[in-house]
Amino acid sequence: MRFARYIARRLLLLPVQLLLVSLIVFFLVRQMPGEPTFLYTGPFATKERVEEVRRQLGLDQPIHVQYVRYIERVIRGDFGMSLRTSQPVMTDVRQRLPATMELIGYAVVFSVLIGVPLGVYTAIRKRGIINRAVFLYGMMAGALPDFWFALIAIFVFFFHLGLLPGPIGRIDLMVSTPETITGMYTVDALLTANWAAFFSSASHLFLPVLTLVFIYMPLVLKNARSAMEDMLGSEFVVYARAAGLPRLMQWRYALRNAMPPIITVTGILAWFLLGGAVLVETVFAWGGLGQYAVQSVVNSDYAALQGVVLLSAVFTMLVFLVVDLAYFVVDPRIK
Amino acid sequence: MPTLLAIDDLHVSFETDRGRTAILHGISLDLEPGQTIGVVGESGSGKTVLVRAVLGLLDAPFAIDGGRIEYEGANLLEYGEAELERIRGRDIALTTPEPRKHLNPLTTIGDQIAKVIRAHADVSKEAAMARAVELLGMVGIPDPELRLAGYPHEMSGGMCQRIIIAMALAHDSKILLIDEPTAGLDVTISRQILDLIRGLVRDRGAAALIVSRDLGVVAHYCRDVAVMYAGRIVEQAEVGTFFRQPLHPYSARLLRAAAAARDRAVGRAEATALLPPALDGCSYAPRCALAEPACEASIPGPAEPAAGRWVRCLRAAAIAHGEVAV
Ligand SMILES: Nc1ncnc2c1ncn2[C@@H]1O[C@H](COP(=O)(O)OP(=O)(O)O)[C@@H](O)[C@H]1O
Ligand code: SF4
Ligand SMILES: [Mg+2]
Repeated sequence: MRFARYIARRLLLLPVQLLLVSLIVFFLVRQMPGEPTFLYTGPFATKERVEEVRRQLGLDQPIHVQYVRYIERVIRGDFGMSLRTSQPVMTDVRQRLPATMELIGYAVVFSVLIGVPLGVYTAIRKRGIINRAVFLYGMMAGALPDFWFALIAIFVFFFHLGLLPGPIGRIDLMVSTPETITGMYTVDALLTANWAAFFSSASHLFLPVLTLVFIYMPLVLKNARSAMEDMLGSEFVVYARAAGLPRLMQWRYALRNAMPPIITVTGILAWFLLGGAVLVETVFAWGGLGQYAVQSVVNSDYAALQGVVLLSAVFTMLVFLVVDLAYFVVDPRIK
Repeated sequence: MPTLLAIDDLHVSFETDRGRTAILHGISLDLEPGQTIGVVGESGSGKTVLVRAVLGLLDAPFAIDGGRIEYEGANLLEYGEAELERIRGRDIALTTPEPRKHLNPLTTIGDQIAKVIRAHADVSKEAAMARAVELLGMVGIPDPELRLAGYPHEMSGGMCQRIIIAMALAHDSKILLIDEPTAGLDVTISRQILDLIRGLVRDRGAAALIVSRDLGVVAHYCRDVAVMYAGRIVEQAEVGTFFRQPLHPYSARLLRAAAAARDRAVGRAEATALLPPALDGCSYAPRCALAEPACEASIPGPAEPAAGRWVRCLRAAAIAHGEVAV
């Protein structure tokens, strides 16, 4: 019951937080150098033409009036037009968000599926070749730029071995995209049993996901290892051991108690990758949200940028809501 | 009497960046069926390290530097983890002084007790839960059925202590290592629990090592007492004679401190947390009123100045014969 109340409170708080974010973003965006009207008029327009466009875009109004108008439209689901793509920001986002979600979704899932067991293993077996190898990998991966690894991976797997498709986006040009349900190709292909689309999109996902997992998984791994080490040394595991519980059970006690920090770092990874995967998106011509955000900044595309930032804020808040809920499930003390 | 557990010349040290510190300097202690030994000494003297060593719980940076711990004809110090797992909690049970830290915060009390039961008994989860209820009842927890679904953080420290003791009683162990059982318990409950342990020892031929800083507990519930100081047992005797006439200057000081504390209605021995530096002579010499130059020249070995009295003090014979007063 308290659980439901807690969710309700968090969800009610969400709009308030978003309003705050929108306010900050709205004013910050307007401090950026560059003038969006040039996108319309070109750099050589007359002063009169520029003024006219500014009037059309509402940029001649006082800034607080602009803000109120913007919020009114956002509440109606209208994030304005992107000056660069000449499409509603909502339409742009609807195309790009699933691409990014699919990419970072797999990256996070595999980082956890591989990083947590490796972290737990190396916490338990403190010696041996695997431990050494994992340690070296963790040091190295933390020092490599992701786009560089991506280029190497493309060189090896596409150019040299020819095993995987090149960096040309999310699916083969010859394969038609699956019917849109979620917008994530592998998911939609599975849902519609479209195997050609599934294999093609999965093979295109392989290298970017590999890159992200290789570079960012150590975050999860190191965290899982240190949390597990702490818990293995904790008094209740020592006591479980003293009481004769088998090692497997001691490890389960420890892992269960190591879950909260692992959940947190998973949330942080997901949050980070939403923007942090932009170079990998660029290398693989992924057409995701990160690329869109960068383009919006470069072109002073106010509406698009505000939309993306607001969306990222929503995503961030949802991620940490899920993190909190997971804590709630794992740790009875929080109730 | 055959011995149940024979600790012989146990040496334990602790390794840090700055080198190795010896913690136990040759502890010898025998435990017979039906015997309860009270281990007393200020905090930091090595009592907890001693009982944990018996169960093979000392991992690096602790190291066992020598000695034997004989149980059922085998040396426990040579046991591997799998062999130790078989006897821990079943043959030899341990309780701990910080009960709240020693319970898993994320699972229920019932689940934790059931796991301890099922670690050594091939019974169903339901049967284990029924036994858990019985054990909680034994240690005087009201409404034990209701407690099973509770979590450690919902219980008081005293309640957690009793849960730990209930777990230690799960398998009718032959040896009970009871480390500061009364910390955080009120007098009535401590008495109830110590009565319970005494009953088990008497009726089942078990034996107990009760570590306590409360000399009153030792006087009431133990047959013998072993006084630890700086990683050594400096005096061991039957409780009655010990309290009548302590022979080691440190024992005498403990008794005086306890008497003074009793007058202040506290009832605890004095506590200093620092392990005194290892010396070439008697480690108590810096604090001893009877120290003489010889005390700093060599470490006093265990001597028997009177029948049934074992003391590590150069002047024990003189003290026993009343030539000097402690
Ligand atoms: N975790 C530890 N780290 C460093 N030293 C320790 C640790 N545990 C015990 N020791 C050393 O061992 C000595 C004995 O400790 P302990 O057995 O806990 O004492 P007691 O139970 O008699 O209070 C302490 O004085 C301390 O120097
Ligand atoms: S040996 Fe000497 S210093 Fe040590 S307790 Fe006895 S009299 Fe005191
Ligand atoms: Mg202790």
